Amino acid sequence: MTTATAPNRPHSGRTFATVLTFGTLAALTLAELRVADAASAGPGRAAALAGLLMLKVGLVLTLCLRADFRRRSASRLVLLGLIFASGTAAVLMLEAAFQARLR
Amino acid sequence: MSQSTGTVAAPAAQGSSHVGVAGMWTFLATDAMGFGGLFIAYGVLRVRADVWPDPRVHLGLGLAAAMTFGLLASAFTMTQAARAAASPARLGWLAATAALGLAFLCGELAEYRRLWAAADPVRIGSGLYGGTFYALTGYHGLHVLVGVVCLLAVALRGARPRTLEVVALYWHFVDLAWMPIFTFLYLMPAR
Repeated sequence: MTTATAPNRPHSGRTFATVLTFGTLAALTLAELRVADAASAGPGRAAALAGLLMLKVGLVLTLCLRADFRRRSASRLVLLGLIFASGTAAVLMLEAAFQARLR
Repeated sequence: MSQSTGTVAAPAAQGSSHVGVAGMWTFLATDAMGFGGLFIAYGVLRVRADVWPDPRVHLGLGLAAAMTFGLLASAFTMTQAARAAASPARLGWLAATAALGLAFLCGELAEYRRLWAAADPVRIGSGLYGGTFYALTGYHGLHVLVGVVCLLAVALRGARPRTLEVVALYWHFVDLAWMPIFTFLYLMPAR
């Protein structure tokens, strides 16, 4: 949704799309708050919250950061970031497991 | 002469703008690793902890929700500022974005103050819960602060549309990084 890479559409249409996007994000946040208040069991609530979070992150990535329009630079860099983050996760988990064994 | 300069300068300017966007994406990718590491550390520590307090016991969900909506609104105003890059209206949108960012920071400071002064205080040194909470929210708060400074610099100095696009990229990333913090720290039940 940043200016330069946005598709050429009439101004009012783009504004409507922006309002719709942020309205959806606000609605998803409200849904998160409702789910957090719900009396359902822990795992179900956690799964619902994770699903809503994925939806929000997906919306921001595709519509605000326009990651889908930056295939050459962005997608590869983000992919690289995710791979490194996974590597960091593995190292941290191994470290935690090692510390737990020491205890 | 001037015509030939113009034809040479245009691709050069375009090239530098691509460099700016690519540079910001490179920074965001490395920054995402920093946030990723903190999230993973938080997850591992929380899962392995014998006892983890319920978020509602200590944290103010109402304030956090208001901060979240404020940050969402700031992402909207940032989008509008980037879209109005060539018109004077961009100043108003940039000011609104910076004001919402500052309001977010004030909310965060109010939350810290409340936690420190509570009867059962949550402090950096008061265990894993406090340590991970302050690490994640503080790291994000620093990003917001940097973003506000950038916004003010762009508003005061006047910037090219592509510079605004780079700042907008950063601001959307800051918005994106808050989403898992809000879900994991404030909403996710203890067990």
